[in-house]
Amino acid sequence: MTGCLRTLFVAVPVLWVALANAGPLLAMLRISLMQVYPGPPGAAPAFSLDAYASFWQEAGYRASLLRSLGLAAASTAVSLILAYPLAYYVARHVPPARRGRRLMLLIAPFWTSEVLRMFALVLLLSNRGALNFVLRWLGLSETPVHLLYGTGTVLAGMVYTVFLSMLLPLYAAVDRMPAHVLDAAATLGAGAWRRFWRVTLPLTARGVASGAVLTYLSALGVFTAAALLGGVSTLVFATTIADLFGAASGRWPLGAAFGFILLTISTACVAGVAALPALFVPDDRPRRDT
Amino acid sequence: MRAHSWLAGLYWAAVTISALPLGLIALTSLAQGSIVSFPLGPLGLHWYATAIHDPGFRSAFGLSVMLAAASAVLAVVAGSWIALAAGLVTRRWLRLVFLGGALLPLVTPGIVHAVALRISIAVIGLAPGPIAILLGHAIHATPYAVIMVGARRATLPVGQVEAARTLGADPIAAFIHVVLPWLRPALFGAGGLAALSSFDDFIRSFFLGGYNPTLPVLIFGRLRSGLTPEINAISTIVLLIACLVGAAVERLRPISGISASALG
Repeated sequence: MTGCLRTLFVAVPVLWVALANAGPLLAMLRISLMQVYPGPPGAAPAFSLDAYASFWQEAGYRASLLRSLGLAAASTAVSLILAYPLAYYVARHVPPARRGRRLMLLIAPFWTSEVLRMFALVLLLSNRGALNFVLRWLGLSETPVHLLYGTGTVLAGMVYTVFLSMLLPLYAAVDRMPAHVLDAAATLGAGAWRRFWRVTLPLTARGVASGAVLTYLSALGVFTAAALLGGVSTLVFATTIADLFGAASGRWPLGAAFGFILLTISTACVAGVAALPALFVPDDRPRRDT
Repeated sequence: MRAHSWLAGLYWAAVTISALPLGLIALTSLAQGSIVSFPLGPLGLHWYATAIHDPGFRSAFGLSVMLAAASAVLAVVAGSWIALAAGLVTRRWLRLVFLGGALLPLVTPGIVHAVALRISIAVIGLAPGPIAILLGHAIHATPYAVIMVGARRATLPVGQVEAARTLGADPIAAFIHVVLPWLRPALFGAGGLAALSSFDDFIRSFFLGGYNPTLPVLIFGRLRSGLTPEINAISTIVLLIACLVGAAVERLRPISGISASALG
């Protein structure tokens, strides 16, 4: 390929990455620094840090960010505890011929839109929903139990939204684990718990780390769970941001600033976890010297 | 090794619990009454007939299908181009920056990505609507194609392209007759994944859409304005399509660390 054609061949995707991926984030940063958007026609935009200042001034905004961070951490923890044994079971105890199908069964519900999954939870948990029907039928409760609009429900919805981000990296990590090390540990007399803590968990630590960061990022950005299953007491940062972009509110700089705050936090998480393996986590490739 | 029956029990419980709520949508869509309430009463296909004749559903359906197809094509072209061009970048750190930038939409939380795209279309003067959603979905799905096509490209036997060139093929002929056929499974896999993620996407469609909603946005709007049984029928149709596409995608492509909605 001639040099000119080669340059063109590389330049087009570089331009796509710059405009389509970096561009929107930079546009968001720029508007977050504006006093008003859209500004008066013809006038040069006035820049300020007002939007970021009002984040510190209003307790409600900080509370919704903290709730988001907490709920995302909780959904990451719940997903990890649920997904680890499932990933382990499919990767280690299902015969290879059936493994793909078994994993597919676990994944299939997550092929659907998150809106549908949240709707499904509404049907399950509402006052006239399936669970209340079962409770009434069993004679456990005469009046409907209010299951929707609480923090627990939003948490369940978030786990149901982001679960796959945890399951798949964990599955890949357990699947990569060399089979003979567990047999060796067993032969040397390590019990099941000891094998788990000293062999399995360290060997899959990278999968846990990447699953956790992916799940946490996804959970931070989840809007539907709080919008459909939550109430006023469970407003998360995603709903706060969405409301600022609502019709005619004209508060785009504030919404953009909040978006940028969330982006900064999530980028810090990615960078932190990317740096983590070098510091704490042993290399997950099989080593010869031990 | 001994069979861990409690792990198997946990697995089947997880499969049941994660599928059960969705099964509930399908079940309640068969109720004939005008309120969704348990017990369901007589069953039938009444609400499906209503849904199929509902102009709102029909237009949302058409829009969602078109967006899925168009954004998948765009994402596969952009993603493959990025993956192949990255191979030509010789400096290691430049290649890492390029690929890192290409994967940026994967690590941007959904709401942030949607808002950033909403701002961008305003900046370039594009009105919310199908074109804006199309771009948003394609940008979101491009990293899937970068990863899948890049992984497939890495397994291309080095000698094949060289052999074609030695035998007189120009670079374009070598690309069409050697590289492209080798990439085909990754192209279809990534395309299916992109189509599914577009069909399922809510947050980008919600922020970038004009007056005509996509299916998830339509369902979201009607859920907010109160449950009608027609929504259950519509949702069941959407559910079945998503599962068919999902099953097709998984068949095209061995299950790997990166899959469908994992990175939603």
